[in-house]
Amino acid sequence: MTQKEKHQDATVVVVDSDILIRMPIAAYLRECGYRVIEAANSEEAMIVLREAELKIDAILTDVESETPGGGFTLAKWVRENRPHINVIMAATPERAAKEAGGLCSEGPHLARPYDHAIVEAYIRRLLSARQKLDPV
Amino acid sequence: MANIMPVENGDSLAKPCILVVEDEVLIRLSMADELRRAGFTVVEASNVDEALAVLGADTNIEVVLTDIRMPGRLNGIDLARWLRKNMPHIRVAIASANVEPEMQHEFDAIFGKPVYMADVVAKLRQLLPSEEQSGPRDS
Repeated sequence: MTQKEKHQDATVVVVDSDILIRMPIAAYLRECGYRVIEAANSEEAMIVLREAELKIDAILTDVESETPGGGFTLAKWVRENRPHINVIMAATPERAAKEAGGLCSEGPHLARPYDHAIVEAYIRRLLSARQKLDPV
Repeated sequence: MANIMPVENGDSLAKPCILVVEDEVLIRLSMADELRRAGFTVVEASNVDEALAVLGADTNIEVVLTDIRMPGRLNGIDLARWLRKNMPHIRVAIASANVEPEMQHEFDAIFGKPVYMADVVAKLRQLLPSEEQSGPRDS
């Protein structure tokens, strides 16, 4: 099995309150072979993350989620409670700069709306790096 | 996980598109997973506003499977009636713990919760326009 095939067994949670952005990136990642779980906001994402049966590898979240604090709050929660999960934050450049300074030392990683191929490549690189650190 | 009975994988080559409208994320996830395993393309909406946004975009939705009670200004019955009026070519199925007998006459399919996905898949296949060409609609 190649490195790429291994990654494509991975499960990614896509969190975005705009269905017209969430739907196509979720469909694209499924086409690439990932299992994708869609969440409309951070609260839904946390419900999914609390399910012991679901093995989550990465989260792609919009920082402008409808819930207070949005993706940054979710990222903080994941770091504290599920530190093995990679969190990828995305935002429009203006919003990202404003929120990153106030809420989080680390700014968003990807621009939104998404370039689907860039998102997939980013997820693949993250999972590859993690696999090298923690081979199973 | 949500109380959803699984179904075996289908062998359909075509991938008809189902819009699932459900506000409980774990139920939505389970239903969508089972429908994808059965060979459908599935679009997931967490409320009626999201469903309307999808329906307003250029998608190939053939069947809408919706819950009734959801947060927001509209519920699943509102959505079903809107579809009847504005997109009558789309089949409408209701999945809810609050189904009433008279709904049988208004919508294409009614499922009580917890839903049995084998029943849902079988009925949705019947509702698809491509399936209708080979047999009459039964509701």
